[in-house]
Amino acid sequence: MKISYNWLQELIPLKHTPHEIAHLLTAAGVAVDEVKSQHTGLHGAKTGEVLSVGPHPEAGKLFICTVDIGLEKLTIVTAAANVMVGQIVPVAIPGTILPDGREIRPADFRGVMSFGMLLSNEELGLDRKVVPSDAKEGIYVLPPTTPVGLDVCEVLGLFDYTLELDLTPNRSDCLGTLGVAHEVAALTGAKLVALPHKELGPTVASSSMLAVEIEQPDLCPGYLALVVEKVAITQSPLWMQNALRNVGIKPINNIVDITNYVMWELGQPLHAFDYAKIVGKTIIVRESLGDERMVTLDGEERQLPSGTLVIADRAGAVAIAGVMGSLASEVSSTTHTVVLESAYFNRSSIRRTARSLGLFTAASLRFDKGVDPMGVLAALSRAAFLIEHLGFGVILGSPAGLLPNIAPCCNISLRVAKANSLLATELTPLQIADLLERLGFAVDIVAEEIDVRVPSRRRDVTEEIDLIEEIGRIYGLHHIPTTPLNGVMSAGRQSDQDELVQRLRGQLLMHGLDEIVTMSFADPAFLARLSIKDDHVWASPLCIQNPLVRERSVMRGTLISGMLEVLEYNQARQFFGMASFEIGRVFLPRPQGEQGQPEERLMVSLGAYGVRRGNWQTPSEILDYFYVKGVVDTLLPTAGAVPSQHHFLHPGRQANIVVGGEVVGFLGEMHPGLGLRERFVVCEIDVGRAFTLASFEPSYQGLAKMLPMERDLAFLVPHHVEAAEVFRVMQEIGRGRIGQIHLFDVYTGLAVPNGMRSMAFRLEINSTMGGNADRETAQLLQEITYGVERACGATLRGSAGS
Amino acid sequence: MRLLGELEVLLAQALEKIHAQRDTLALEQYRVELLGKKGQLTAILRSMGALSPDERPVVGQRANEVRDALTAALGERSLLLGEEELSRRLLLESIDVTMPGKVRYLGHKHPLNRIIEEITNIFLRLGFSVADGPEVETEYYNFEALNVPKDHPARDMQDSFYLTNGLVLRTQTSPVQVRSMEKMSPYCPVRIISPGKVYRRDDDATHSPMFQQVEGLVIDRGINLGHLKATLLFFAREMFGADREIRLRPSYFPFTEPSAEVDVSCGSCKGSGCQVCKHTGWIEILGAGLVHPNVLRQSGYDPEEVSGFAFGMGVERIAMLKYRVEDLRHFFVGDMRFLRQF
Repeated sequence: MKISYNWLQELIPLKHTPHEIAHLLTAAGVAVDEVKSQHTGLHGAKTGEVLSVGPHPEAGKLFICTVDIGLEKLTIVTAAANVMVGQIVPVAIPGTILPDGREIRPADFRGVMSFGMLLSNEELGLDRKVVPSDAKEGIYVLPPTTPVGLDVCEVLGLFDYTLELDLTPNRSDCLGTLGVAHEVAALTGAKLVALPHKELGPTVASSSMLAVEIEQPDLCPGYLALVVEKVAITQSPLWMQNALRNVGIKPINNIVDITNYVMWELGQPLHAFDYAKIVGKTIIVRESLGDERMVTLDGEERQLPSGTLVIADRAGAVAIAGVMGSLASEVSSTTHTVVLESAYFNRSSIRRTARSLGLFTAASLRFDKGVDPMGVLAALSRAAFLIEHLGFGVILGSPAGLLPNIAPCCNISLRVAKANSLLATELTPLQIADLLERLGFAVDIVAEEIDVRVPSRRRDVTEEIDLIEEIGRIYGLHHIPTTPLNGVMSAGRQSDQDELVQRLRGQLLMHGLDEIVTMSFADPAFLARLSIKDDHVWASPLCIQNPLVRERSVMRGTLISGMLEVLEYNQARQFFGMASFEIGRVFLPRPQGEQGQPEERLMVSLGAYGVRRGNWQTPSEILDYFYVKGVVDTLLPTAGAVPSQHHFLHPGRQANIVVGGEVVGFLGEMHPGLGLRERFVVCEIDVGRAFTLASFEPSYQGLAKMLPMERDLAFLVPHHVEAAEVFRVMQEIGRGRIGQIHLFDVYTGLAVPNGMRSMAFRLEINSTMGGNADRETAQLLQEITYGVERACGATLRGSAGS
Repeated sequence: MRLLGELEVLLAQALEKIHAQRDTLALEQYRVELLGKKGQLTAILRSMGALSPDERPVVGQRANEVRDALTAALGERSLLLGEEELSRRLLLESIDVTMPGKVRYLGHKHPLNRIIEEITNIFLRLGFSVADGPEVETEYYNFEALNVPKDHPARDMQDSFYLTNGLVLRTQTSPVQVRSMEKMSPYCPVRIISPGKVYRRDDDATHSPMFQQVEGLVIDRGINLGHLKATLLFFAREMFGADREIRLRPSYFPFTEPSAEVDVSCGSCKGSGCQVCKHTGWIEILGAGLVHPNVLRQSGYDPEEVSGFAFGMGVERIAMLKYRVEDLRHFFVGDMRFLRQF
């Protein structure tokens, strides 16, 4: 919302500078984003009358003009084709600096000296958006009544500042300059000027010239139509055009400009129809029929969704209520009688319409945010005054229609003690009453309470708490003291899950994985790319009804989608290798037919590819399956890996991670058939199922009395027997007697028969006291060897140890 | 007394030879040659048997003196040579101590999680507990319970992601506050913060459809705006520096009243105005306010008995300010060039 400083001054005379006003408003919650001066140069430019126009003897496209600028007459050469004798035009004289920085100097145009420049919109520095479409080319022509020799900036109202407001949605009262003036009055103590208006006769249901029928009073609680006769369509006065331009509105003609001017002044949208175009001299407010179409003022033909509130005549819709009028009923140069509309529409109805048509106008914005029901008549009276006062038409009859039946004010009882206790203030009833009166609220102090009558323009203030907010706002939040929290001591606690996540994160960082955070959205194409089958848990992700893009139209059922994106992103940037992890939630829909929120499961994903470079002292580390497996082994020492069959993973390089007999995740290389450019290894683990806080707690076992012994055993093991099986057999036989088992070498090739691999294990043997230690150890190794040979089809290759 | 003469010769020659030895190995060989079982001194001592009983003690005494002198000289020489040899060896063993050590790669914590942990720790110290809730919320918890009725513009399809069956991706973590209040009412005090991911339909350099928030809530008897100010001032100073000030500007949120935007004084220019604070001296970091009586009522508290304050901040925004990150989207792309700087 743009506010003109000069316009504001007309409603409330102020000594404050625009910047001071901006500070005051911002500190009170009516944020001013920007204060912009309209004055951008043009020093010395004057208004001038074109006395003569003649052709240039040497150049067909140039004209030689004599221009009277008051004290002197200048010869000026121009290329503007629209220049005509008798026009009043803006003239830059030698020494004038244009907004674009050019300085005007006397110049020779093919033998003719020019002593100035006739200015176009662009050269004046006017925004194209606020220049009438018929005035975009050529010089800017001022109204014929403009005196010559005046400062152009003065004439065009450029000694003004525009305040750009960033309004919170509750402050629709500030969508009119008067609302801002009320705010300024409260903040400065300055007094508002009473705006002249025309007293209109009592509202009638139908006047002799126009009938109003409201079919949907719930969607249109108030509607006034006023007939203006003897209208001559012309330009509006320059002061009004200037005011409109300075708040970003394009001047159009006297009637339309007045409707816009009053809207910007009071916040109440008005609309003008050409009376001659209203068929049956009847205005009907109704919902649109199934197949109504309309060409709106912007020239677009629109299909009106059924249920759209429209203003119609006997022949059809003439306006989309509260949004935009039709081109057919537009006020034009031939209009001689006008119907002015001032209405009060249902907010949601207008919002729905604007949204469904994608048509957001100054009017729809105000109806959507809420207008003052008292403004309906006030705006019409103000417009009527301006029309008659400026001699653009006469009003003979009364407004026709229905005034909104809404109370002009809201009565609220305010407890002084409550206000002080919430605001941390010690204000007296008198001080509070004063603050509220400055806002234009009526107050009665009754002992420790204040009865407040809030005018309907402040529709956001309906309860005691709203008044308390107003008091704080106008009193100034910077006056509120700081008071440390006191009361019952309470220890801050994190949830076990947060604690767990922090531990897990710490461990993964120590393992050298970088943390990523990816979007919770996923691309449904991801599932197809991985050929996820219909019965898979990921197969029917939670769909977003109104996604921004298809690539982010479902909620992720796995962290792998985001992880793969990150791996591919970095791989595509020639990153030679990386390992990363993410801890986050996945979203699993309830089984069909079950109601309620989806399951949100906390998962951790790991991903890696390529090589981590070492240095002269450190061998490079290949970030492959066994790198990730190693991380999992350390995080979950009791977990097992069981070969799995996820078909998006390499069939021979994948496993489920099993804890306590339950599958808690998977791990594997992405299937090489998926067209990925690297061997990406991924892993996903259900945090809640795999980890408990206890798993990060140390468990102390005491110290063994004697140092353990180490013995090596090497077996030839058939290929099809998994290492896990060999471990299992050794652990089972050695339970209580052996500690760690390290697989320190695996070898195939020379001296190893086909179909076999040599696996060398180092066993940590718990020493026992007593003289039979050696014999017991030998016995144990024999048992283990026998067991492994029998259970795994292996043969002992050798043994050693100290 | 030939033997005595021999002893003197041996002593003189041996001392000379001992000093001539250049390494400990040769010295040891010479020691054996001199004092060993078949050594020169031993040979002299052996031939003492042929002496008369008068001569024997004289020669014997002298022989012992010679042996002691030689042993001492040998020891001294051995110590010296040993030291020399050690320092020669150590010199050979010296390395270029400036060479890079063995690579130990440590992962990098995501900057957003750094910030969340930092914020969380500040409030844990103030006695706030951490609360958690679903990211896919019911419209009730995301809107109605927060004083945003059905027709409110904030429920615009433009702003929120909707799922089926009245579910919505939470647009703020405030539903967690409501759920916590429902669980705790009428118990006081409530002091919680709720960090988490939230979702809005926006996507540009300063808006992301998913971002993270930390919200806070305090409910107790007699809570007022002064408590809110003090708490946020403490937070701002812990988070951004002890010299910071805060400023409250009235604003509007459906679930708090009075509501305020909270600015922190700019750390780059100390309030005099610079690019970071857009020449205002202040940086907006928080929204806050007193909990709206309707929200208290909805969640089972009596606004006549208790009051509360709530606040919320965007984690990305704080991270961007703290680390001077120019584009919000960096946080979620996973570019290693970005992440490895934190």
